[in-house]
Amino acid sequence: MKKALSFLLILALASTAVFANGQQGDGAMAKEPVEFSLINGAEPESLDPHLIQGVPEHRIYESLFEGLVGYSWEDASPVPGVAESWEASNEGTTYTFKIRKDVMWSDGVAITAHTVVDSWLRMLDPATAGPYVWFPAMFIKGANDFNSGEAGPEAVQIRAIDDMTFQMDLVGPLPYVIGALAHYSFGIVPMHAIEKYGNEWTSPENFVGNGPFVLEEWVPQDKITAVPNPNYWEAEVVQLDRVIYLPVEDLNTAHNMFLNGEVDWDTNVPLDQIENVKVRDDYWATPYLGTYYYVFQNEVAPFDNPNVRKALAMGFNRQNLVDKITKAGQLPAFSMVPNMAGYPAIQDDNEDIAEAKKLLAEAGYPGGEGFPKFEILYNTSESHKKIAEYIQHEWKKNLGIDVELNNQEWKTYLSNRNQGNFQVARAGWIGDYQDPNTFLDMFVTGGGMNGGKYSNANYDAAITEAATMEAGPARMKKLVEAETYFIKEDQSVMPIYYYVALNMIDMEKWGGFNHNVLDTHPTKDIYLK
Amino acid sequence: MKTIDNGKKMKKDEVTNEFNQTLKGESLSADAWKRLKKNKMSMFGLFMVTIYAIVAALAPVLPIHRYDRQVLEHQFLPPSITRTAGELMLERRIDLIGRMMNKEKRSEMSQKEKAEIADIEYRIINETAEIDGKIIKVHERKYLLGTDDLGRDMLSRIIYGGQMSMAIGLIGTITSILIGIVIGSIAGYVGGRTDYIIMRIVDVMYGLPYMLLVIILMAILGKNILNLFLALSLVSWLTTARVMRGQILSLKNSTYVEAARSMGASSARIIFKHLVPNTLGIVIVFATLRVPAFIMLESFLSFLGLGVSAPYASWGSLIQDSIGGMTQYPWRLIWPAITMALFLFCMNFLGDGLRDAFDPQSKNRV
Repeated sequence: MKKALSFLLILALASTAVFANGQQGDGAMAKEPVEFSLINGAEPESLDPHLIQGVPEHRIYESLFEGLVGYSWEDASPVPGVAESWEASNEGTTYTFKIRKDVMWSDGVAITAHTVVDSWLRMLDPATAGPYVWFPAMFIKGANDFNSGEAGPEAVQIRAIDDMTFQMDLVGPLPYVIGALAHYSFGIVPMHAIEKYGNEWTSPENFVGNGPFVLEEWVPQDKITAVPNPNYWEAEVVQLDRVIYLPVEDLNTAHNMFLNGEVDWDTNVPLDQIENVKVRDDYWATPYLGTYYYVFQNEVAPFDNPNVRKALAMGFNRQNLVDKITKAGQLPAFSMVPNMAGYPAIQDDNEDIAEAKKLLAEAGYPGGEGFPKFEILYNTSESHKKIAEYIQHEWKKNLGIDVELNNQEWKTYLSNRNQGNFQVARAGWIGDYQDPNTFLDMFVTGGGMNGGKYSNANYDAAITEAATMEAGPARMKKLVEAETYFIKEDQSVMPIYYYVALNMIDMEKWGGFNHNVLDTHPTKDIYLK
Repeated sequence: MKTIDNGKKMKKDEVTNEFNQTLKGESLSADAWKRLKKNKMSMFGLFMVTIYAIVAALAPVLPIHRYDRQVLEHQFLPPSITRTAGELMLERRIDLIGRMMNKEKRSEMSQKEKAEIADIEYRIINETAEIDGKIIKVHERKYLLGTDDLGRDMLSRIIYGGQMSMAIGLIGTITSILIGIVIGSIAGYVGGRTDYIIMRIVDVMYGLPYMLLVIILMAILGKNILNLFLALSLVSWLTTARVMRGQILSLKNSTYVEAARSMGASSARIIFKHLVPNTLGIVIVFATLRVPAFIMLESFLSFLGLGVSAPYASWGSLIQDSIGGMTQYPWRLIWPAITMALFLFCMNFLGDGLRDAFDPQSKNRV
């Protein structure tokens, strides 16, 4: 252990020498600009809110743009953004937003209700081909027709009543809609800049945004920096002088950078280091609204038999897995939806090897004999591999089933998974908003993300019905009913654990940062203590 | 053959000099072997490679733990000859609790932690598990080279990983050399347009990024060990073909080839009966030096996550698995790295020695 520490110390010394320039933010002098640097994972695909997907892009979006509503730094609940207030009418299917008077783009052009309408129509336009367009299309009336090309933009039920009043009609009384509006796919974009610069509008010299920060510099594969936006309506609350996003994909590199003090916030921790950093004061593992699961290909034998799926789901020990492998305090999951306010997660611990064997025998594979060899598909990553190896070993030991592992690079994996080219695939889902619906509605028959080809008329009916119900226990009950079909009866997927968010940040030094279930931390509120 | 007129009857094959001493002809390979024996480094290399080969071949009967058996509680145990897994496991747990207490500024263990330690102590003595059909006291196992992140024995994984790495080195070399010999000698012997076309194809393939070709082939064919062999050998016969062509070009005008041709031997017969055996020295040297290259290549692929798939291991994949925690659990990196580096060194010593032994012009000749 001492050796390891001295090695780190040497590393730290060496790198302080090299990176001394980047450390200005640490200085105690009052005049020094406060810089906040963070590890942002992959290089962002784009900065255009309508063309992005993924967490790294989301973090940047939060700094550079603001939608009608934003996220609170404390509990990730929706807070007023460009809209200062809103009200629902028409039994919760129509929302009217009042736009702030003093909101403008960083170049001084005013933001009105018309900007919102134009922005959203751009998002929904099939020509934009945004990867996350399905998300707003799920909410807004007529959006699907426009996006699929069946109708023109006039079909989309959003309108500017006057310059300062925006109104939208929903497909049903979706009580979680306000939380969802903070998502980047509902982003408001500077149409005047897009018309002028085309695709180049996100480059630093052309950039126009409405967030608390504006883009200062973008050096691909090196860094993205943002400085406060003087035209932001709440510019006085912004305390950081510069935010630096570092695209570092390798977790170990990122971890060492944090240990050396080169970054202020590391957004993940490598698996093999967790045991070690647990004893540090700047390590935070907090509940995260997400589920790690394996999805079965429901249409292909032998996984078309619910008993086989149940047997596999029962045939390994989740507690051991979270204690010994993932280690960061993840909770074993037996349901797709984690515990949420008003929605108790299904907690039946159904790990029962004897029962699993019995089910397997009933399906015609006593003792695993004759069970066709199959593959677990996962995207290349150390932790996914480790978990897959554990499950492979457990299934072999407990059920006598032989499994092979197949890893693919992220994009290949994603397209194979969404198209259903797999037998069993690893998957994870992080809630887009705080409602059980975000975990369930993607499994309806024919859904774009339903790679496992799950199809159950009862389930579809329950999900559709819940979408027409108003907030309250009755709606939650309907969703529980849907999940009961999905998990308890059909075991279409095999939940493994609920995520925890792992962050390394010195909370003695930085304020305005709170651990919440969406793991969202707007830079707007972060300040140096 | 000389006729000798001193009346003694001699065996037909025997050759004598003018003093009537029997001369024993020395074959090229015997000559080379004699020279190789004088080269200490090469002999060391040969010796080590033989040991590696024997250990890998005998892996299933050696008294080692199974390479894919996970005992999760035994994860990350350091190497130890004398101490059992149970002791090390307990020590590791106490160390962790100690550091946790430090963080929380306690001097006493909590009730829960005490109970946990007591439980571990009890189980070390009493817990049994069935491994390979035998009921054993699981915590009395010993791990000479430590364990990995899933509680598998490193020693056994390194041996089985060696099996895989060496197999890839061997099979890759043999297939690529065979393809190279056939194509190179045809190009060299036939010459003319055939030669031109073949060599241009080789040039073009040389121009393509080697690694990328393997990766693309793996993507098309699917990921399994057979395809890995196939993909590796399909792209690595180029150099052999060039070397072979050069050799054949220089040999094809020799008198013995002319003789064979004048007696009506077919091209195939001339190539494979007369020319190829005369180039074997070069080919053997080349092959020895290819083996390490293949092992390195496979390690590289494993490092990218494209090599062998779990639970199988190769040296490359073992090293890849270990880098995440190399500061905490250095033995996971060090042992496979040493094993692999030693093998590669030995293979290269051997190859160098063989080159010197076979090459009459070599400056390093002993």
